[in-house]
Amino acid sequence: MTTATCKVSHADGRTSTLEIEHGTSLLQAALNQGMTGFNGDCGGACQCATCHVYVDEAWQAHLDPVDDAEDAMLDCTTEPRRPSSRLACRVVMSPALCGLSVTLPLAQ
Amino acid sequence: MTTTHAPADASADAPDSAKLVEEAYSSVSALYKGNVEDIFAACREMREATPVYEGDFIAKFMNVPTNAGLQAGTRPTFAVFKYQDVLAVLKDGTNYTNGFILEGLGKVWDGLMILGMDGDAHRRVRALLQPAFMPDTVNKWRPKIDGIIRDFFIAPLLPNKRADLMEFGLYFPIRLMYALVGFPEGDKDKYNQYAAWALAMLGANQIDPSKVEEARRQALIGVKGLYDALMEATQKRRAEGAEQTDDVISRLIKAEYEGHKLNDHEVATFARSLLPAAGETTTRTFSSVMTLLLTTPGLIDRVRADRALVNKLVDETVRYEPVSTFKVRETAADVEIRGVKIPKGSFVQCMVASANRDGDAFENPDSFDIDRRQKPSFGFGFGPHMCIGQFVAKIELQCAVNAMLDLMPNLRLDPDKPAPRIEGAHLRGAKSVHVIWD
Repeated sequence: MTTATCKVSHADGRTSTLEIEHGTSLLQAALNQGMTGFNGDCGGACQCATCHVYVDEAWQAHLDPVDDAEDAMLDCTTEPRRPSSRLACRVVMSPALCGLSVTLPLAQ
Repeated sequence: MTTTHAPADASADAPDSAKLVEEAYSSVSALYKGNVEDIFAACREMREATPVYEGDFIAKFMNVPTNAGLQAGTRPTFAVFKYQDVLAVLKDGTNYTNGFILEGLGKVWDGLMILGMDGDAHRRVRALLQPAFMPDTVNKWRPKIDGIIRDFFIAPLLPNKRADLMEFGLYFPIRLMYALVGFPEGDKDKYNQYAAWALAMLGANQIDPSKVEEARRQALIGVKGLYDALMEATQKRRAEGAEQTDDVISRLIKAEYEGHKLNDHEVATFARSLLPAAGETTTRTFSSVMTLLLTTPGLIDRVRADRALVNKLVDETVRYEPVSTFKVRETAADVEIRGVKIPKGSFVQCMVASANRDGDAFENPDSFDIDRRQKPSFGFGFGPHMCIGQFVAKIELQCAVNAMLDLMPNLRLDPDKPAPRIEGAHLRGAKSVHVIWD
């Protein structure tokens, strides 16, 4: 199995599932599959804060820690930053993340 | 910069084309020099007293044109000075739009112009181009960029032990970017001519009515000249096949837009709209990076010893000394900022030079400190229109700084020449950076 699934809860209450290849970012997968809600204005280079997601609590510890660049950008999100806030361009799928669950903020 | 020192790799055979681009560059610098002695002090005063100013700050206090061109002054105008306000406006492409640029600068430029697009149309076009400019892609160009800078631009200067760095600062971004766009390599005269034309397109933004006609005439020559050159390059690339090549023209040829493949005219006009941003902004940033590196006590020794700091040097320069000191947007709805009501159809001038030095966002904002905590600043803009070429520009700058530190031992300011001075109300930079080395 070289893909992992990710459950995305949209701001309007819908949920959908992405199949994401290992090594691909959540943002790239969403853009490739035409899923709305991940703006990714900068294309996925951690420069715009428009691929903001809230990671469900159970999964937070499984993600790589937030680095300086992501930390700075998370201060610029449109919806308020929470402890669960991450940028989808920095969430790279791996076997350990299969089943990941995230919620999109209202503003995207 | 003097015309006797043409770019190191072109001086023997192409003094005229080098002169052409120098003159075009100086004329854009003069256009945006404005009449403000200290842009940061002027902004600080406004930020503290009137953070949302009702009026045309840029025309009144800076006296430089904006991309609104002749549209400037035709509608209510406001200026915002706080970091949070500039951030909020630039990232909100729904309420703050760019379409007016098509009626201003875009009237002269003609054709597909990404700068003046909004909403989904903009998003689709940007998505077409973005892959060509992402870090993963442009990092692959690093060895080539590095080689060109070292072998063609710096090596010929070395025996002299002294130089005005702007002798090559104007030419290396042109040489690199125009190759990445997909123009055939090897003819430096042509590259310089293209760069002069692109600069003339920028010169179409005039504020002095007596200069408008001539500036537009020159801009139209540039528009036409670049179109012909790009059409030729596009047709050649299409004939040879674009499958194996990765330059901007090839990417556009391969791309789908609005359900169809772009024709040659669309590829040419679209690539053309990127060119005015593809050279001189990097030149100006380079001048500021080098000025701050050489004039900040002890900094060059630290950076020479720890090259990981080159990145920070560039990022902090872009905050402290943004080349582009403002961005203008138009309101698509009635909005309110800090209690000031701004009607739909107003211009909002986002003062980058102010936001980047806002004490609420940056500690000791007026000190140049490469060790400060990373935080977005707006030297490359922000939001949907953020500079698409920023990663290329950063690699060019990193390669140039590293190459100089490697090849010019004990690089320092030339004590017999005036120290470099960063100036201009907009499109800021240092005219000369005189250095010596051992």
